[in-house]
Amino acid sequence: MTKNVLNYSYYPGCSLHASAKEYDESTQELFKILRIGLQEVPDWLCCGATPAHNVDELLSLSLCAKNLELSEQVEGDLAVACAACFSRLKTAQHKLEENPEKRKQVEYALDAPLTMDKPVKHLLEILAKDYGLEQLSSAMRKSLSGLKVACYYGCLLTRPADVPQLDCAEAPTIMERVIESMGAETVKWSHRLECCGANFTLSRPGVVLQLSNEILASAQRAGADCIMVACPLCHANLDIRQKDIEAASGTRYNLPVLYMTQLLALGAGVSAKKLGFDSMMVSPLPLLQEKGLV
Amino acid sequence: MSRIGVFVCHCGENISRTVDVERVAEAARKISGVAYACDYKYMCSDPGQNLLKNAVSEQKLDGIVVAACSPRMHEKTFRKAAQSAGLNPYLCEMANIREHCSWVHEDKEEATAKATEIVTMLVERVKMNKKLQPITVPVTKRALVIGGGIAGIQAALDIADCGHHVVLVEREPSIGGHMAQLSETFPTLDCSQCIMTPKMVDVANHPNITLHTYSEVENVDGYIGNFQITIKKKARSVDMDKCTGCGICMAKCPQKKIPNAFDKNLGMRPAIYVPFPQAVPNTPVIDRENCTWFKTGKCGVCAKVCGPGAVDYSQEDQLIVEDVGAIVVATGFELYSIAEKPKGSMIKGYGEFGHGKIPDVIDGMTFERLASASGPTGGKILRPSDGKEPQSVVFLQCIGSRAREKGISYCSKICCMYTAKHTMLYHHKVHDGQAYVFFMDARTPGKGYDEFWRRSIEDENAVYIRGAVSRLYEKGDKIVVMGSDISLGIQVEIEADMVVLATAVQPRTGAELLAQKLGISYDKYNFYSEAHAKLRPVECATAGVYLAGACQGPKDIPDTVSQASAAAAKVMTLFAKDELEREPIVAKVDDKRCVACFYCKKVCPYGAVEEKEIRDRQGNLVKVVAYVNPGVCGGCGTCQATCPSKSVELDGYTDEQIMAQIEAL
Amino acid sequence: MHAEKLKHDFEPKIVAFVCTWCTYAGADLAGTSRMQYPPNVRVLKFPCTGRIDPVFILRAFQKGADGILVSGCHPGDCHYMAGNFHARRRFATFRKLLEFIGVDLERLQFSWVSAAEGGKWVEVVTELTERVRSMGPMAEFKELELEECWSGKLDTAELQEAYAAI
Repeated sequence: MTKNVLNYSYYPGCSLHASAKEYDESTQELFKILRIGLQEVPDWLCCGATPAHNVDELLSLSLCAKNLELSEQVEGDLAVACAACFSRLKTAQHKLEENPEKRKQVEYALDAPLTMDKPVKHLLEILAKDYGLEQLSSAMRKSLSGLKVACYYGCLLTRPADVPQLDCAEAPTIMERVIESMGAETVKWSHRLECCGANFTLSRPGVVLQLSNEILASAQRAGADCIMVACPLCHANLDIRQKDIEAASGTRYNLPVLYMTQLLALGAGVSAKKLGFDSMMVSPLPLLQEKGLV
Repeated sequence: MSRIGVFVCHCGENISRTVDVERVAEAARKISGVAYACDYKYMCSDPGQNLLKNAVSEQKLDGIVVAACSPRMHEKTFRKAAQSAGLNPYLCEMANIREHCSWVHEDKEEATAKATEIVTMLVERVKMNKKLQPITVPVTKRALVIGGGIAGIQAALDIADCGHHVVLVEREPSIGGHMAQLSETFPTLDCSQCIMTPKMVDVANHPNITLHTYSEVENVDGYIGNFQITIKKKARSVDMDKCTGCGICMAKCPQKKIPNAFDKNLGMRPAIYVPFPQAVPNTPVIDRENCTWFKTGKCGVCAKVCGPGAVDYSQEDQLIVEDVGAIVVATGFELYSIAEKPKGSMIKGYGEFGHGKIPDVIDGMTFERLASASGPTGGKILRPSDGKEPQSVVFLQCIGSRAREKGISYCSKICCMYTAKHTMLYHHKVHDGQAYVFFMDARTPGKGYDEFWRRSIEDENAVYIRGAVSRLYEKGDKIVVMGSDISLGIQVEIEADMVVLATAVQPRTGAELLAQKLGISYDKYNFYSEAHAKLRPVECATAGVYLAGACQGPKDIPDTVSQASAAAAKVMTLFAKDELEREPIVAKVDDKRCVACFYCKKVCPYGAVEEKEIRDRQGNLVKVVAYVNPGVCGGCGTCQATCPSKSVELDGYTDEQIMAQIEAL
Repeated sequence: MHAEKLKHDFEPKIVAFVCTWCTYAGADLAGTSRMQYPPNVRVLKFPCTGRIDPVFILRAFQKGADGILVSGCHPGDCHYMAGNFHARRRFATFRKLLEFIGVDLERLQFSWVSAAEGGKWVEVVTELTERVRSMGPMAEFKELELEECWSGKLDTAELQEAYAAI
């Protein structure tokens, strides 16, 4: 058993164990083949996502602080896949570091002192900075060349500017650099950072139909074959709702929406069967077969 | 035995509201050595000063403490009053019980106790004060003006017209600054070059102005009335005396495709060039970085075709020293750019607008060059990307300005007006074109300004949308502007042919370096600091240095010209006397105690310490000691704190005075 | 504007040695802006921090100061060009001496406050005052001073003993 190159504690979050199972599976497969250790944090809680911070800030901070404390039990920086979980955990860390009053309140709520030592990293940062783009390239077994990818960041990966600290807030390039190291071609398109409608998919779906339509239209205009995401909710809005969007706008898109780890794992040589392509509403299989990747 | 007088001021209510001034005066009366103490409503007023003068003569006071505002405010006032009553002004001290006490504490007991202690400390100090006589230094009646834009030009002309000599130093090959780049100026739409060039020519021809262009200030030594300025005259590679300005060298230069910064890199220039046709002086310079001769040793065409033989490749940078008595700083501004800034920079770029990479998204000055008849497009508004005439232009206000998240909180003052002007210029040149302006507020406070601004909407059909823009992106050959209209409460998307950004006005890159050379203060944005925001807007805290124009803060042309004339007037005030009285806060060495280690000489920032020979009556050298030149000494006291034998003393801040204050704690 | 002010047992005495051009002006600005801060500080004005002799600091401790602040212009901005650089060097050495003789260096603070930084003046003074308050009074120097105060008499027991030992 060869030793791991790097080791991380892992916070999958609720979506990755449910509607975004393929994001979790592909992440685990990718990291296994890259020999990066991922150990799930025991008994983790929901991060609270949008509902918590919208309703009660103390609840939101406490949930995240609890998760951060739980993660101290596992060695290695905390790896997070879901953009929303990432944003909530980083925000909590930021707020509790800056505001001693809030920190006291959370410690009271949890009835325990906070260490707040664990760096929280998104998978993109782990792959691009810790593992390294050159290493990633040398791990490529099946080049994704010929595949035109529109990298979709959404709202939370790089913003607000001082919280995630992942890349330049309004003009980031980290997703492009990561997928290009596997040979894919990325397109320059206008709606990389525009909102998909997020939680309105439950309360006001019309908003999602409008906003996500703009995103799909922009990707199509730019000549993309597929859209790459790092967020389960963005995926849901762009993939699950794509038929509704096509009906509402009268335009045919047929644009597969893939998680970044699905594409990266494919490039690293993981079998397509293990990457959950079947559970997606807009099947990527015809496209991948056409490009000789499956 | 001392006879000190203590005067406690109410300052209306400013002090008396939180400090019980009567109790302070009462406590002062009890201090040993205090012969008289009183309180009064306004010590700085005429009756207040008379009260002080009368007390000095009637009570035969030999020292006074005025407990009132900050000495930075009124020390001069009270010292003058003391002097007119026959008391040496340096026997007068101020106890700051306003800025440092009544204004910053609320509890009356605490504030009164503190005020009493402050007064006690100053009383003990003033007992140790010595009578000091002012030092006079001669004034060199020549002025240095740094910067040859409209501010520098105006200041230079005003001073020169009064009969005094001016040395004008300008970094670029020609004077004119940003005003020379403008097309038409608000609120009259005068052609900028037409109103400026006569002044530029006046400067060149004025018998009292020495113009050093393509030059920079290297070093500043000295102090008010007596500055020595080292100026680096960069090598033009052209002999100014021989050149006739015929322009053949420029026409024949084979290197024609160097982007011309004056034209915001839209136009090209040769390697030997003048920045614009109306340049003053009309002598070209060789851009040695891009010139074939200087890069490879080949070519030399300009030298060959020059009739008078003015081209001189062997020219070198020259250092000259000018003696002046006053300095006017008029270095102007540059525009903020939306490009990505280095990590950790206080100021951020606009990634959401493409970081300056979209070719048809330009700034206001670039638009000016397009509109200018002598610009790279001959005055036609054309897209930089494909040279087509834009049918719709969207103007964005407040890019960088009033944007705390980008690092700049201030308003740049001139943009509302010049954007309105731009919509007019655009409409005059592209009759069917449509201008849109996204704005937050319209700031048009000058004479005729608001009327001018309204013309843009009423006569030139510009559409003003109150709202901000969140993103610009390219769609085909258009630029999509995603913004909002908050008056209507809707999102707005405009597909524009060209976007013009009204970017923030910033001080020039490297402004802080010049400030450090001059010893003047600057704020966190690098704008130079005036001595007092309201009452001394053209002077610096550093005596002898004056400010004019946008280097002090964003400014339009009328205000710049006013400020330049104001700075010139201050210089003339200085030059009106033959001698300047200097404050006698200078260091003195005790010959008997000095051990001649000369540590003081090593640390003196002014180089004021000289070696003095002590000789006996036969002329034999007894010893060499340190001597402080009272004309040069700046009065910092570093020498005294450094001297191991305690042989040098700073008048006005002696060890006795300071220790007396500490002992009174 | 203020929550109920707490009554403290110990009011520290803070002495500030500041330069006229930057910190004194910054303190003036805090006053003009009506910013509020604890009344424990006594300001001594100097033309430049370069004039400040370490002896003043020792004397201030002896005379009852519990905390001392030395504050001047930011590096590069000294009105007298380089006075604040000399002050910085002088005090870097002086701190080591104070540490050696057992003074808690938390009582001595150096700062750069410019003429535009009224807020920073308030911050620095408040922080130092509260820190010194939590440290308690500076007793060591005062005791030493009392010991050292010589009455002027030549026939004290101590002196007799010292003469006898020669």
